[in-house]
Amino acid sequence: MVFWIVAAAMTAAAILAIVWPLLRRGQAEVDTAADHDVEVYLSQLRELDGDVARGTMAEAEAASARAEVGRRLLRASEKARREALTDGTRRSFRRPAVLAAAAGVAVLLPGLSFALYETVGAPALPDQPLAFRQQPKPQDDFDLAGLVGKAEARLKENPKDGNGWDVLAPIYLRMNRPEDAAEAFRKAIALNGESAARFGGLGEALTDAASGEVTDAAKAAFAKALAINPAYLPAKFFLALDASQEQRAADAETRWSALISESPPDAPWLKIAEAGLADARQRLGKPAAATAVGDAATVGGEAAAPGGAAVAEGEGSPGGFEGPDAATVAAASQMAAGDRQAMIEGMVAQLAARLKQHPDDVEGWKRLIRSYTVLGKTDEAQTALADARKAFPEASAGAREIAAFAAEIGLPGKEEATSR
Amino acid sequence: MIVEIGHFALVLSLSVALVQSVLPALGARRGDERLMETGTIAATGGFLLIAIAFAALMTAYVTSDFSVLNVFENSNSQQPLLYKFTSTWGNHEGSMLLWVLILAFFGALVALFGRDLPASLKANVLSVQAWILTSFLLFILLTSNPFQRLDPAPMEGQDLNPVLQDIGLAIHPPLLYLGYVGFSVAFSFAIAALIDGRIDAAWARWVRPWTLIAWIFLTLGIAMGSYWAYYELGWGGWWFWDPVENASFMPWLAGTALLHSALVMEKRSALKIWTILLAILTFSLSLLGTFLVRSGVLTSVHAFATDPTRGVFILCILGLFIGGALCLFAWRASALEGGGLFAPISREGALVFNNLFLTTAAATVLVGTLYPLILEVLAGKKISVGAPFFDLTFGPVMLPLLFAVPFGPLLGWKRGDLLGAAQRLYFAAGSALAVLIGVLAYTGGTRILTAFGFALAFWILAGSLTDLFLRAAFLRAGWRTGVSRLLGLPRSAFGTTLAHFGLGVTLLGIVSVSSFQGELITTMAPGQTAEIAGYTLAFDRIEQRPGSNFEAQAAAFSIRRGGVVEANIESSKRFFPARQMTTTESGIWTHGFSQLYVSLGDPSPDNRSIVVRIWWKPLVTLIWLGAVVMAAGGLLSLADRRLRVGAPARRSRAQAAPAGA
Repeated sequence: MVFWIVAAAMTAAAILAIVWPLLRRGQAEVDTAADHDVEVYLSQLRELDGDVARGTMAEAEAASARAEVGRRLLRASEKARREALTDGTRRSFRRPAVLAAAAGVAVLLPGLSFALYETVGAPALPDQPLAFRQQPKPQDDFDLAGLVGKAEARLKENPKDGNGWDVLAPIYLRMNRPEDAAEAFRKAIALNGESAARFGGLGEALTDAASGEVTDAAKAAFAKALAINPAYLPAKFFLALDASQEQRAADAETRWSALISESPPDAPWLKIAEAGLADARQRLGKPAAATAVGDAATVGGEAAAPGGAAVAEGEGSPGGFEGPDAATVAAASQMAAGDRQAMIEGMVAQLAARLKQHPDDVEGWKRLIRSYTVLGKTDEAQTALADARKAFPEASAGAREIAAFAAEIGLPGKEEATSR
Repeated sequence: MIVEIGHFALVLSLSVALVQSVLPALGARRGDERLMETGTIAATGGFLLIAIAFAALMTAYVTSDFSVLNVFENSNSQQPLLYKFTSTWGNHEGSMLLWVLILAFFGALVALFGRDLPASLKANVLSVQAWILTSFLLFILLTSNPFQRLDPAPMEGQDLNPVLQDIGLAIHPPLLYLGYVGFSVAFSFAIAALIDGRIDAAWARWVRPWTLIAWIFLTLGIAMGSYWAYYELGWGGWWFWDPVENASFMPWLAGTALLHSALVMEKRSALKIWTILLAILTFSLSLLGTFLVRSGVLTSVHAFATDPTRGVFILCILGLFIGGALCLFAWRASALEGGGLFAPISREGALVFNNLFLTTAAATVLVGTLYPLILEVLAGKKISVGAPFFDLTFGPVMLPLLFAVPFGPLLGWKRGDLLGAAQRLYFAAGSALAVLIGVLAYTGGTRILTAFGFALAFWILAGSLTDLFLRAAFLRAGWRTGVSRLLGLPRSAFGTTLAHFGLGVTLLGIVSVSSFQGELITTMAPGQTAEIAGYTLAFDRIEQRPGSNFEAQAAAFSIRRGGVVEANIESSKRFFPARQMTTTESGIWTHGFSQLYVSLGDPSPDNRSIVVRIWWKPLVTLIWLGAVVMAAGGLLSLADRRLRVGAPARRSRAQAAPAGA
């Protein structure tokens, strides 16, 4: 509300200021251009005299200059005299025309501004400066940076303090400092011994550092975590995520379904797991409604594979289940389920916003569409697909790639119907 | 809410600019004072609105409000406060906002200080300014909106490009933009004159100071950018003929020509039409520079915006303004009144000479900059045009110009005496000859070109002082009168001398570095030493050191001469994990005007030693000091009180009327 008052006040001020001279009854007298010329030439003559007085100009030189300026002065004053004579016939606008212009300004200024602002602005969105964003969780984040700083200083003195690293590592992870987190987990493992939680954390940090991609190093860490504690669910989650990212659909299906069957009903990752499972099934051409623990039999066959760092199906795995979703999951795995969902959607929205600005990013579009499908938002996926098609000229490489991708994930191309 | 108020203010400023595009020009056409008056208000108000928008964006940066996409993408809450401020323009969207802020600022200056101008000229100028403003505001709002929001806000931002986290580069863009955009005023004056079909006497007096302001900022901006590239990129060079550098150098060359032709126009009201064309060309080159840098057609450190839609948009603006202005020129120039006559050998003639060579030089740079781009578009071949091309083309064009510099101020207006001027330059010629012989003797007669280079520099240095010396008439009038006459000289005379002197200083630095620079690239381990230019450089130690948002590898060196430690310097490489980028921080020891420059290369495979590049750069700082001196000359000339033109007094008008009746 305050925003609208301020906006309206600014607009009103602008209108008033511009319209003010238009409302005046008579016209102030305007000096003609010739008058100005006369004045300029007069001041030039004065300068010449000054130059001569200072001795910076020879008298002969000054005389010829004076003659020239004098000629121009004569011409200009003659013109000024003529203009003064014809002054009365100046065709300035009549009052109604000027008032119409004022009315035009009074309509156009707010009309255009509010219309344009309506399309580009976000009036309801408050500022979210860093200080404000940290306020809602005063307990947790109370001088978190200060505490971390103290802990870091202690560890600098005594780098062999395994417990210190143990405490610091997950905090780093949460502060979105994944490289530091990975280092801290490694130190904790070296000093305090191996544990499923530490290896799991390391894997998560490495995944985070790679912007959500489960790298081979991360996979190795998760495999070690599972070797220590075969029931360590977070590691299973990330290995399933990896299968999705690398588009090993069959493997992903078994992993997601196994994870779902083992997880408690309130596990925060369930929603993503189900989406991943649905995605994998769709890829395999199976109906999504098939029983969750369908083909658990194959788990044994492939479970060993992702553990070995040798499995390298290409680091990039474009178009897979990756990017914002995975990054968010990794960053937010200690969050409450609701927070996490909001964050995931925020990241997706961010990707969408970025694509709106830079629509020529084929991989980005594929990732966005995939993310929507995985989140179960089919309508949004459809819209995104339509937007993606609009972003590339027909028959261009980008358009072909988008079309192929849509066919691949089984999204029907009804873009004409939904977008227009 | 602050962010959205800024956003709304920006949108509102677009509407105001639209009004300003139409009403004052209409008023000027019909001589309607009420309509013309709206221009003054709209220009001032528009500037205030854009200033609000800019302040809002800056607030978002300083408070790390990552709900603004632009802030999220280009800053980080861990950044030092200073770089949070400078991040505001360290990116495409923010820098465009700065561009229009400066454009509106110049518009407001014309509105506020233009009371002396003929009303119709002022109104037309303000409308032309508003056309430029409108197109760039549209560009910002439609393709590069800095106020795009992000909800919910992410916890942490994506950091600023580490190369740009430097105080030199924080100041460089605003200076450069003040220069680029400053030429818009001369452009608007030129277009206004063409629209009006007449060139007022006040026109010339106004164009020169505005050009001068823009030129001063552009000079400083280019010098700053050059020094930044010198110490930050770690290649030891100070000018690379990089397209981005050329983009700022072309308007500088054209602007320098404009400055001199405006001088002729002001004093002698000759060269009017040529000045108008130059004003158009200079701003066109500024627009071209903006296009080259902002569209991403070049791939270099500066071109961090890579998006074809933006490029096409700016290209349209470019085509509209340059094409439109030149068409208008072709159509209306014949209607303008020509200026006074002058003999070929005269001050005017010298300035025409200056103009011809400067514009040719600008054209050379233009060809060298655009040719690779055009070739890439047409033939798909990627070539780069570098120093060899410019040495062969730009150099020969500049040589006669540099040689002629001392003559110009000594020639009389209208008709000059070349022989007399040459005679008066005997001291400069003598000192140049002495330097020539001295350098030849020093190098054993092998470096003839070098000797001529030094002689040319001293020719300009001594020649530029000659004018002041003669005008004060020390020899004729004696010491005491000479000083008082010197002090009585108009400031613009000092400005000319200083600017030409600065040119000589820069030339001296360039000649010295390019002929006597010492270079050594070697692998060194801690404890080893290297010899360069009579100094011993000892590699003391190397260490890893964490920084605020980077990890530094710092190497300490000590510089000794004859066993005595002269200085300790540190050269380092910084690694920024957030962007996976490495930057170099050169170690520089300044001794007098010369510098010893050390930068680190890659470590050897066994990590025991590291590649070290060492340069001895004699008199290198003169290159930039010269530019500062040139700018100071411009400032002095700007401060000349004679530039102010009084408004016509009511009295004179009252007298004119009865006389006619």
